[in-house]
Amino acid sequence: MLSPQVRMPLCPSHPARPARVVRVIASSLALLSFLAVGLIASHAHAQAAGLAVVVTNKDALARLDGNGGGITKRTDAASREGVNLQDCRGDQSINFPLTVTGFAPGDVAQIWASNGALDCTDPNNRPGVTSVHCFQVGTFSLVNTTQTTIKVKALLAATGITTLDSFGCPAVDISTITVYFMVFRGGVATAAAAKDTVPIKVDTQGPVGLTGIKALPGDQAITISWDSVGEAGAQDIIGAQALCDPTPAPSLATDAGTTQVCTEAGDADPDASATPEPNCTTVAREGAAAGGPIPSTGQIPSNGLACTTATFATSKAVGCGSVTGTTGNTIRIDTINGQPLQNGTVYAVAVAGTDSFGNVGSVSSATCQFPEATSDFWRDYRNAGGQSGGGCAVEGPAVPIGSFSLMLVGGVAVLSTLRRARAQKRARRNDR
Amino acid sequence: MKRSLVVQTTGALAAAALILTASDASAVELGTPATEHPFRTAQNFALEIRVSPYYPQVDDDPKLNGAKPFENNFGNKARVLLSLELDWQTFRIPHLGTIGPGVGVGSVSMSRSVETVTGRTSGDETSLSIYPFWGVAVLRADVLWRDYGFPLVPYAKGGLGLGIWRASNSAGTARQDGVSGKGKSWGTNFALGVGFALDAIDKGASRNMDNATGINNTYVFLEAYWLTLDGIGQSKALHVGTSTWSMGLAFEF
Repeated sequence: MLSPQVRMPLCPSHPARPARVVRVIASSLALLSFLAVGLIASHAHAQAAGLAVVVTNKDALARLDGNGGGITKRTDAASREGVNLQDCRGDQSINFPLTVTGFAPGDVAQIWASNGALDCTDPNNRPGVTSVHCFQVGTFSLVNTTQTTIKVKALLAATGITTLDSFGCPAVDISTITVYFMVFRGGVATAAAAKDTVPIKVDTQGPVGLTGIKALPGDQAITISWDSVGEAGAQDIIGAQALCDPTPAPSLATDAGTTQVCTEAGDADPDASATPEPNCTTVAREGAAAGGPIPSTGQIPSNGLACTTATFATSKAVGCGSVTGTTGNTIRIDTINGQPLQNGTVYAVAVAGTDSFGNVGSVSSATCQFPEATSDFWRDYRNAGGQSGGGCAVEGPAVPIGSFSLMLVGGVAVLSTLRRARAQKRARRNDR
Repeated sequence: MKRSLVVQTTGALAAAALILTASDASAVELGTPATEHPFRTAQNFALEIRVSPYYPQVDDDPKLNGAKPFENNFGNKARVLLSLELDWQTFRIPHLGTIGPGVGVGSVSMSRSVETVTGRTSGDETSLSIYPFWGVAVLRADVLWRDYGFPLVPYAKGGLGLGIWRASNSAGTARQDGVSGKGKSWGTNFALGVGFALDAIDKGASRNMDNATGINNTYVFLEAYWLTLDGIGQSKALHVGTSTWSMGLAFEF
């Protein structure tokens, strides 16, 4: 038997009943509204369900040069699909093959790119082409299969870096740009109804400049050397590239002071005394500005002479030799653009480190040097009356003495083993 | 000359192959047979690992009229020749030693930075590489060691030599007046030397090594040799031979 105090909460009094009815009605209406919205959304989703955009062959996208011609990509797997400084300077484009299905009249197709984690499908990250987060880099046709080409420079613009070199390329340390291929339904201010993305690794920043540059003369050649970088530490450097001015008309660097370059025994300390040291030549400092005349061969010491050219000033020098690895620190330059160097002609040369992404780093100051005939054993022998030579016995850099010796020793071991085995067999036969 | 050498070499190799593959080896006794007392495995070969100073006699060529292109470019210090020689101790002469053919091969090279014609330091180098080969008859008089236990083994060698050489610079094989700096020089090779049998220091260990590996004797040797690669049958040979000494280790097995 329940007490009246206990029953009261279970049986509310009549004055509370109207409020309860209102709450029930309100709840029902909210439920109906929710169902209606859900049904409408479900219908819309059913309409977009067949809509899709797919970038095919993402791992091997064709690359075009500045004139639209196909190019052979780098062989290095890590950087082959990426973008480095030379790709940008070469005004390359990337070709994206697309497959689009389920599109309808009124749909809009756009390509956006972002540098970082921001999602370009979110309309809040696409306020316009001036957005620092997502940049529109193109559009594509709404047909079943199509291709669209995007300039590497346009992709690099998505980094938001506005400081560009003379080729229009920004310096981007290693980063990934995500390219969004999106189809919008109901206006571009909405979320994308269909999308596909392609990540593209970019690195347009090469190693820092090499130091201690010297350019030594050779017979129809110049040997450029630099301070060894050893194991290179934390810096990504895997080799070096020699750069040359293809038009040998360098200017003597003039206005940034002078220093002394010594051939051998001289004391290169220009501050210690105003008197020139023996075996030293006073030359312009590296990095000096242009303005002087073309350096004459009489001015140029063994280590070379600081100079400058318009070609180097605009970073348009050509590659004229390279070395792989960080242990070597010399490159012998004997041709520029396939043409042999001429003795007595002054050339401007420089060097830059290269990184694992194929970037050529900061170019050193240009150094002028001229090739000159050198002494040579064979030349001296022949000029002294020696008549030998012209044989064909050794063509390569070395005779395979090691292999020959191993073969010799191996052959002897086999012969010895055979004879020993035969002797043992004979001994056993005699024992029987 | 070259043809006869090839014929002789081919004949010798054929004979060697015939002897080695003969089914009845007792018909011709080659090498030194194994013995039980004292314990010795069969002995047929000697291998020498050799090191020697090497200064080629390029400047001795009379056609140079006293000029010294080699010394002017490479200085007057000898380089190091590393070489191997393998002897087949074909026959044992009782109470004297072994005799048989041997072949050797070596490598020596020299390189130096050069100056430009106006005396500036250059980035170029000039080099000469020589690969001497020789085929010799070798007589090793090991009677003192084998019969009397005195650990000295004098020996003599004589035969032909061949030097294959290449003069190069930083651009590759050197070339002057259209003539490339490579070729070969024939000559003779004679040597006299003496080996000290290291087995005398620890005969027990020597016997164990013979049992385990088949190496009968180990020597340290010193040898004087005259490798005269000045062009037998050649009128324009580069004189790449030398007269010098050599030392190293020799193993008989």
